[in-house]
Amino acid sequence: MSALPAGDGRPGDGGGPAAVPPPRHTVVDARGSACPGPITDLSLAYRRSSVGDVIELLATDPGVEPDTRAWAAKTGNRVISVEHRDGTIVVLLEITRR
Amino acid sequence: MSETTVRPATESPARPGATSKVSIVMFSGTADKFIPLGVFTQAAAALGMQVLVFVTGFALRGFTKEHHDLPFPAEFAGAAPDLERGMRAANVASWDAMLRQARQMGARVYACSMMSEVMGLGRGDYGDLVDDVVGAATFLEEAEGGETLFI
Repeated sequence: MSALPAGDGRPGDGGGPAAVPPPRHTVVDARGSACPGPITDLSLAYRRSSVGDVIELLATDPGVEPDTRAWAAKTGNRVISVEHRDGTIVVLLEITRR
Repeated sequence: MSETTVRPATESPARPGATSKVSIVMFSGTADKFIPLGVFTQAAAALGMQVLVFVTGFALRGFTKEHHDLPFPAEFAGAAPDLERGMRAANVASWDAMLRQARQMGARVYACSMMSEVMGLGRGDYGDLVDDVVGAATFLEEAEGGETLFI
């Protein structure tokens, strides 16, 4: 698995020490990983996340859509969208609870 | 990949963020049953659940430093090679890799003290997957109030 910050990450300066860091968009590539690999990769990324962050999970395991919804319900986070793109399931999640 | 329709998560009875736990009694010593052990342990840990595994009976043979080839049940032995090929093709992790991952996320594994003694196994005979050797009372006390699975 890999979890790389995509788009613009947190800026190293600006805003001063009291500023809330802007949300991050993290891509978690779990393609080719069988259950429960994708949900584990998601969980590991979640542990490094903050409220407001978006995690984009890429997976090919056919159980990923219901499992991700179950994970979100269990952990109190939000599934923004689920798309099927050329054999890849792309799940966007908003971290609403840490 | 086919489109799937699932009920929205808002219908889930799960209480968001609630701490819950699942405890597994791992009793069977056959290779096929170690697969769900790994899957459920890792999946529960990924859901943020507290996970506890109590290993007893012939399942203890999977946890010793000394390697034991875990047998398939006789009625499925003929299908075992196909299953193993399928597992490799689907890139399914080995049961012990799944359990190791689950332990890194907080899962704990206990070996049964009584069966350990019966089988002549001391604490030092177990590999790094075993956190402690305890009795049934410890497991039951820690499992109380959560879900318990018996494999």
